[in-house]
Amino acid sequence: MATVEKYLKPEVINQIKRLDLRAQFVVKGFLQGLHASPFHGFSVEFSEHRRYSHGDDPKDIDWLVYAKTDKYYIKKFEAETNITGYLVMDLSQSMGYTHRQELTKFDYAICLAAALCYLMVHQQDPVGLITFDDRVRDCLAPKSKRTQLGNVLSHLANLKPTGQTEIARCLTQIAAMLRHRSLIMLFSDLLGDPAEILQSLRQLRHGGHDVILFHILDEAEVNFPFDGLIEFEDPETNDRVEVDATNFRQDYLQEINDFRQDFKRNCFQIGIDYVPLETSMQFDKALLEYLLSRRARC
Amino acid sequence: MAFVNLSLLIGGLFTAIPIVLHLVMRQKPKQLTFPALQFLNQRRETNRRTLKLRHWLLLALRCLAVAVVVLALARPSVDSTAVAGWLMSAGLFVMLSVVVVCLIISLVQRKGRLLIGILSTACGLLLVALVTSTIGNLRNSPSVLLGDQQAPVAAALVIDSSPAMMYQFQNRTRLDAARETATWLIGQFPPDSDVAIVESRLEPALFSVDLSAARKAVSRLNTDGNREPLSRAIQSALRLLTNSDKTRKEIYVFTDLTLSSWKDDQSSTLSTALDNARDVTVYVVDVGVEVPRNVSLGALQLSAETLAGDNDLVVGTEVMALGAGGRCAVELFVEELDPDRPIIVDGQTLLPKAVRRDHQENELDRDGSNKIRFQVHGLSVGVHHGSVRLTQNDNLSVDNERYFTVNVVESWPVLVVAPNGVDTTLLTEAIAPFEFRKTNRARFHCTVIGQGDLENHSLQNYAVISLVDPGPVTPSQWKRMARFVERGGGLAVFLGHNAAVKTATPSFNIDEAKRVLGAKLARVWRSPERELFLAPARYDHAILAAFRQQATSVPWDAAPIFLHWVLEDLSPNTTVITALSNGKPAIVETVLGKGRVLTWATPVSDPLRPTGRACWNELSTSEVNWPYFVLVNESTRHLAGTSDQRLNYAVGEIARIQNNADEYPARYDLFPPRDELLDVTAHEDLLTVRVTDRPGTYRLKGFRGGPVTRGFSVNLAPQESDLRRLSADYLESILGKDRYQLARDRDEIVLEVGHARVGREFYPYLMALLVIVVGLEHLFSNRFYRKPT
Repeated sequence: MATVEKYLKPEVINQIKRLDLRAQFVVKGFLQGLHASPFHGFSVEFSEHRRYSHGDDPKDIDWLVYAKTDKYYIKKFEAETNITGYLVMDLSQSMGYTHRQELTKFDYAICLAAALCYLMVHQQDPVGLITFDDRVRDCLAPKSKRTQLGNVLSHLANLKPTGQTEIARCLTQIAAMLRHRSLIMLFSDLLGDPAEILQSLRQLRHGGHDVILFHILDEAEVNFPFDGLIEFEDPETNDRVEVDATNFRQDYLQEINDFRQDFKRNCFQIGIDYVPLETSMQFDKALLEYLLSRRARC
Repeated sequence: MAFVNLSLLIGGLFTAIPIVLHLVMRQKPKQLTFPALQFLNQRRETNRRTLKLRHWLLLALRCLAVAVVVLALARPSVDSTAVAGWLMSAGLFVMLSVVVVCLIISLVQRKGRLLIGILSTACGLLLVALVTSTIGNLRNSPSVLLGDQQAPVAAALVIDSSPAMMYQFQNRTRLDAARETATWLIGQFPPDSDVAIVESRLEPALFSVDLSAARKAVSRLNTDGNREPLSRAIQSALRLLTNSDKTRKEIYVFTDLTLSSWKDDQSSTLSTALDNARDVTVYVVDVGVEVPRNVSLGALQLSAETLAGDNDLVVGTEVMALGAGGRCAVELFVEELDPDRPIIVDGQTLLPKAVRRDHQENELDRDGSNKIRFQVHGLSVGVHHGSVRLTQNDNLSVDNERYFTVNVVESWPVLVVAPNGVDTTLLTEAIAPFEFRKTNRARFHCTVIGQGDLENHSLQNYAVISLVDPGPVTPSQWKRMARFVERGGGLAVFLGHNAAVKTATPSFNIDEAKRVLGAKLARVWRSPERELFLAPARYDHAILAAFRQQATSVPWDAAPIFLHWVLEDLSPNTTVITALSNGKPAIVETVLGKGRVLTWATPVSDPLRPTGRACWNELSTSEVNWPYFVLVNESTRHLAGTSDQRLNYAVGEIARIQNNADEYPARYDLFPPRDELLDVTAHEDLLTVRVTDRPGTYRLKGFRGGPVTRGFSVNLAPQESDLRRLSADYLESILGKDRYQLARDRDEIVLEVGHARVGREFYPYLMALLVIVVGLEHLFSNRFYRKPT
């Protein structure tokens, strides 16, 4: 079991080059860890009752029927396949940043997206892919076929974080694109104007979509592990700032914390699941968020 | 302020190095890509200001470090007396720096206005204080060039030659210690220095020809009882140095710091003189002993220097202990009368044999004293020398023996002249009591005659004539008595009621009488209310000297005077010895030739209740009449010419010995103690000996039909050997506060001289400051530019 759970660690996953294997390892590792969890029986719909017999799980006894008939019946379930998911990937250059790990924010996001895709396809949920930087680049229509997994993963594997980003505009565009209620899983570092981004997220919610916002930041962006006089350069805008990092750390941590707290509060207000992630965190947190959201929709 | 290496101050230009490095070689920041730049931008300005402040702070510290190194190498120094002032300036500078840094930080970080206002005010006040303090220090800086140890000096070595310097400690006298240190010090002086050896003598201070002459002068030094106070010697040295053209002037005072050397009345003028000569540095070299141990003899008190009759000689003194106690024996020696001695045989002076006449054991407490008294009887007529000495030696020997000389003579013949009806018993019993006459101890031998017999009585063999309540005196008698006095005799005239007879009074106012009496008899003053008595204003005359000890408690008013003659129109050679309580003269003295006349305005012979007239006074008849006895005895002795015959002198005093040409030879050989023979000749019946600088017996030997031996004694004043140490406050009051450096040994002399010549160096302080500055620089630079991990 432990050998499987280790695949939830980014640094281990990073050693696996094939994206489908990565996704498989992540999901299997995650599910192994959840074998005794209350999420047993997820993604199945009630179909019928049958008489209780020895060996059945007493948890499955329908106590409502027992109250009416004074006999033990257990519930039977069947799969439900009507949740359409979209993996929305931020392709901005800032997503390609890492300070000390080899796994960039983008790699982390792809890994997570692949795992989620794997999970959804295996539950026969249709899953699609949308990528954007300063505009929407690609859009893969959602399908629940097994072949969809290969399509999505091959697409993800070919993505490169380049150029500048316009998150808010792109999200507005995506909100306009999607006709049906969908589960939108957004992977981004959200380095843009927070007010505009939140506004576009509201539009998504207004369109009836469920949104899980995976806010991915590099470990260095969260902890600011720098010392001494450093000139920082923005990879997107090439702006330069010279600061005394040692002295600046407290200020920076305060700023980044405020930023995340603002997003968390606002997302809560508009009904979005905000998942703050950093590239050193295990993948299970992200997957759990997804499953919680999925369950809420059932 | 002065610098040992002034040229090194040019190195101050090196402070430019950190500035140049700061400008040219600014630290290059590490380049890093970082996408979350938007979080940096918001607080970047504050961070930039902080960064700049740190840059400036580091730059200032580095410049300061270079400046401190340069300053330390230049070795700044200030006059020792100004160290406190300069340290205060340095302290103010440091405080100002701290406040300025705080102010800059407050301005950069935009703290509250109140804080900035407080810091600005503090900054201004500190700046004003710093400027004031520095200006004050610069003004007070001595004009002497500091810093060069090898510049020639004008030095005066004042060496204490008081007898107390003969105190022995560790087999050396204090004078030996002073000699050694002074010789060593002369060797330390740079070549071409002017050195003067100043002793506590009257001679003016002079520079020695060269350093070797100065060394010789030091080796010749000796103690001297006849010396000037040390403060005068220092003033003399000060005058010498003031006129010197050398820029560096130094006085070294070698002393044992005992009270005997420094206690005099010149201290205030010395401190003023030293204050006026700030360019002269004074070093006090203490060669004394912190806790001296000594037993000494005090001054001798003799019952009389001239003993008449077969009287005993009483010698009193005091044995004093300092830092010691225990048993000590004191002996009294008297030399035998030997007309042949002293005599020089084979180059050796043979003295008369000294016989121990008395011996006393004393138990002394620590720092205590005992009074002792010797009584010597059976002294034959002649001049006797003797001494009182301690039997055991101690560290200071000069005060272990005291010398005395007494002259024993036959009783002085006194002619008492009184008219009929006047009882002279009250006078004769006062000056030659029956008991004394019976035992041959009376100092006076009285012969009483009637006034009528005076004409035919020979006066030649008498020392004193007393006219008791005389009646009319003829001019020839006045003339005869005048001649008697002029030849050296003494005349006492006790005026009374017999002079008040109308026919008698004129005989006292004729010229011949006035010449003898020295005054005119104006009238008789009556005061029946017992409110008139003798009232001496001063006790400086010989006949009143005996009352000095009890001056305030003599019961003069117990002997009232009811009648007295008013003496007016005093002659120029007449002085009032004592007056009455109404201010009128009571006793006047007239000097005639070699003799004296004492005229009393009231008699001493009146009985308590005379018949047929009023009583003139109760001088001799009152219940408390001891002042009368003393007064008539001292008057008679004074008239006999012995009261001013001194035979015992202090060291340095000029000895004047009366030498009646009719009785004594005119020329003498003087045998001073432990010295060579001197020749002394009498002038105007007076032998004058000026060389009395050693304590001991000075013997005179002359020939007049045979050997005649006389002499006198010389003693050190007891305070000359007072070994009690001077307190620091007292020394400060003499020399002035911070006006001298005190040293005890050679190392301390080198240190103090170094401090004064080179000044008090700031090198150690600057090195400490450098360590602090470098440490701060290191701390800040490590903190500011910590390497990224």
